[in-house]
Amino acid sequence: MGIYRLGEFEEIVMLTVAILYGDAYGIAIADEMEKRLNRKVSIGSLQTVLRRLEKKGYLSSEFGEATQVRGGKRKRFFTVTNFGKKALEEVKEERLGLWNAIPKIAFGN
Amino acid sequence: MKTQKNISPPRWLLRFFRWYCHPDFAEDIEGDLCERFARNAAETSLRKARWRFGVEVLLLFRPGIIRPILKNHPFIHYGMFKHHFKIAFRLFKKETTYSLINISGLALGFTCCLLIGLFIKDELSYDNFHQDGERIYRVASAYMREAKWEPYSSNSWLTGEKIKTQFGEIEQLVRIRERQEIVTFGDKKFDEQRLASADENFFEIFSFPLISGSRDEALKGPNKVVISKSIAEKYFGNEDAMGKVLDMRDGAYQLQVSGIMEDMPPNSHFHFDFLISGETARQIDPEALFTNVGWDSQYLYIKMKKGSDPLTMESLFPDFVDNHLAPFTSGIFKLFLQPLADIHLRSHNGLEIEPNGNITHVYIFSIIALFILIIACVNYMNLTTARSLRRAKEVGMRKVLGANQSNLIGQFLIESFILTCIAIFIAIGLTLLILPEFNEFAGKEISGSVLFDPTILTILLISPFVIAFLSGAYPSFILSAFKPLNTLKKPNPTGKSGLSLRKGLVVLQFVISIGLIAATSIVFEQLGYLKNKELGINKELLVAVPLKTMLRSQLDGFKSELLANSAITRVGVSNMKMPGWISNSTYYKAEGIPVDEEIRQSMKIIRIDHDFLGTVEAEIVKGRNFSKTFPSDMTSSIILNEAAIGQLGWEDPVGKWIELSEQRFEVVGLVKDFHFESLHRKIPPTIFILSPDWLNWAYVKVDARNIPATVGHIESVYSKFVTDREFSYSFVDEDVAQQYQAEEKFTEVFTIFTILAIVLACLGTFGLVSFSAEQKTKEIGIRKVLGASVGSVTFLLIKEFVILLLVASLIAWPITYYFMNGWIEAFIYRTNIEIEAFITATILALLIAIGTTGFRAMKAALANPAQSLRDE
Repeated sequence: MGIYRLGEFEEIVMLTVAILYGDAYGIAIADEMEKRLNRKVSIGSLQTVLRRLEKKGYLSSEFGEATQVRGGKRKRFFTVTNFGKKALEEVKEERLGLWNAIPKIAFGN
Repeated sequence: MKTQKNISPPRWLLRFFRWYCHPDFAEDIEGDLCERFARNAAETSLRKARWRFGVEVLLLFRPGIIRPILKNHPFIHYGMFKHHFKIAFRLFKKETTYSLINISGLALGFTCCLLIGLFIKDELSYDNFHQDGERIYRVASAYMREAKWEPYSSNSWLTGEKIKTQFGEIEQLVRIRERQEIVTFGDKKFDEQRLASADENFFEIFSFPLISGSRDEALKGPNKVVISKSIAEKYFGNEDAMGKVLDMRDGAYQLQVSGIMEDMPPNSHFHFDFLISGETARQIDPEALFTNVGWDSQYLYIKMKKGSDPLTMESLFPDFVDNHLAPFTSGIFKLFLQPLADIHLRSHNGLEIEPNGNITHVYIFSIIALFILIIACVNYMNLTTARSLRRAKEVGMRKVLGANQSNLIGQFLIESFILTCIAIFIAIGLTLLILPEFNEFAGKEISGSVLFDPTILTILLISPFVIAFLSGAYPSFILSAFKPLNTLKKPNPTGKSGLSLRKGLVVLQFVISIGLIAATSIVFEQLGYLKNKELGINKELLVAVPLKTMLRSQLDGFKSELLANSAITRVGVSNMKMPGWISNSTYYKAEGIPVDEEIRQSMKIIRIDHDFLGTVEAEIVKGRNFSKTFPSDMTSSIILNEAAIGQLGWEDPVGKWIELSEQRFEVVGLVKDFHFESLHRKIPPTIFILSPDWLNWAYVKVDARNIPATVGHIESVYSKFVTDREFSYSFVDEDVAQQYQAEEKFTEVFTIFTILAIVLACLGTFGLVSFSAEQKTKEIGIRKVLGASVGSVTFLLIKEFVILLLVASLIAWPITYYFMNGWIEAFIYRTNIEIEAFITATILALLIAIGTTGFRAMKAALANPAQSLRDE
């Protein structure tokens, strides 16, 4: 299963984009991740990953309307593509498969 | 809380971000940054928010975000790169003549530069292979003669000894004495010229490698000799030479081989095949050689201690001379240091071990190499720019299809790079091919492998880039600047762009060519002058014979037996080789002239017999020649030359007295100045004195008829008197010519490179005139239809070049005059630089230019106008 290889951070970013459906732009994604996962996210690392995922075809993006906040700059909203969804599902299946394969005795219950 | 207005991120950071960020991402990321900044500013302090903003901006500076560094760079687009190559080769095929002119011009130029470069590199490499060479110096000496210091390379044995003990700065001091000996081993007997005796620490100063024997011990103790590898083979063949005993000077002493060294490399300023231990020399040389500070038989080399300053040491020399070298005083004798690496190119002392090179020649050849390179590059620039106009359509099309100027510059630079590389490869091949001849010619032993030595290889690898850029930059800028609309619309571009610069470059080429032609003719003139100047004697049909071991008491017998042959008219004898160097000089007291201790009046002294002046046909101006009818001549008469009278300031010299070492002589005659030495030296004030014991060279005047038979006669008489030495002889006129060999070589080299420079310039002008003929095809056609003659059309094409050439002459003349005047001024006897040299140069250049361009212009002029006008 080598086609949908996702890094841990990439996976989290895609999941967050999916959670924020329709409202996923840079700062919103970062805030959501900070809130849910309790970790600091710099714009630099986030944006790099977003662009990379978009280039790979897992995400697509479009500009929104310009607003007064943000110095008049438009937001770029990301959505997960079908291809991206498939990749996420694949990763999830893989993980579940692994979880299910763990014998009960291993974790002591 | 601050007001809304103040809450903005730092401007400069924002600007920095905008600069580096990929333009596609800039807008939304900047928005994110601002949003987060505003929130941070509201929640914490402005300062913290700004700080965080800065960190974020810095963290964004990463490969995924920043814009590509090289936008549309040809090297990134492999396909485009390949395309450029293809176009370059198609072009080459399409315009073979131009391309060949281009490449061969560049290749010729590079070959010259490469050869000159190798020559210069070799000249500069002299003596730099010794370990710690920068601490090795030669101690040279100079005598005050006629208020001038006359430098010599040598010193006395005792001076060396005293320097060694008096100067703490010296780590090692070695004395070397040059020798010649008859060496015998078994049935092998040779007259060896390259012998020297040296102190035992020779190998501690000089790092010549030893094949066998110990560096410390080989020259220790008496009767030891270190020989070179080739000498070992010469005497002992394949046998081991170590421990073998060589017989010297017909049994006078023996030497045991205690070491074998590699042959001294060609770029050493001395080459010895035998190094005899200093202890041996102590036993065989006369005692006076070791006790007399005036007997300057030794070359002294010192190795200074680390960190000691040669200038300080030199400043102590005058005191040293006064305190330790009596009877010398610092007023009349001085010592000075010559850095080892400088000796070959910068030392021009008397008594050099071998003839040295000349730094001026190195400079001159560097300049010529540079000139040739300039001409070759200018050719390339001119031809490419001119030719490029044909490619205007190509450029226009490329631009229409979206190429920008930097793409086109890249393309043309790649083309020039390809051509340069081809030219350099050809040049390397040519150089390897010519190198053997070049070596023979320049008297060098440069091997082809030098081309692959790291420095040269690096230069060879870098030079295509540099030269491709130098010669390709201008054409590519001109070409890439074409306006697509103009080039596509007009059928024939005018070719005006860059015209003035092209003209300038042609003028530059002509300046160099005319300058070189004029310089060559001046160099030739000077050489002819040196060779043909009246010497004041008759050098023709004069045979010089070294007397060698002949008993001087039998000299009269030898002379009279020679004269018994009717083909021999006169025989004279002197103590010195003529032409040669008068090494003996003497201080004097003269009638009516006070002795000046400061200036130390001295004159050169030549010892002769009664017949010498008559044999060489020197003219007696006043008084008389030495004569056997005056027996007192043997003990108390001298003859002076005019230069001597000039120095003494005497009106009527005959009958006046001169005192030499406390002995009084009467001047009996005055001889017209004649050149005993080469024309590089001024005729010195000279005393001629009779002295039967010290004579070494016989001069025999022979008849022009049957010279070989006469020489045979001299030989048979000679071998009656001398049995242990071979007979040898030379003709004085040939020896005289020999003295100017260096000048002759220089002239030859100069001529060859001048011719090459001219050929290159011709190639360039030929290319240009072809181009302008093509440009003017229609114009020529119309002119011819309207009745212009072939001559007038040809003139139309050539006219431009002729004007440029005349302009170039005006520039070239004064520059050449300035430099050649500097060159010729170094000669004591020299011709004047005449205006003819310059006029000839211009006329010659004119003829060459008309010759090369005229042919092409004529062809254009002869073309059928119907043909040229039809072509659309």
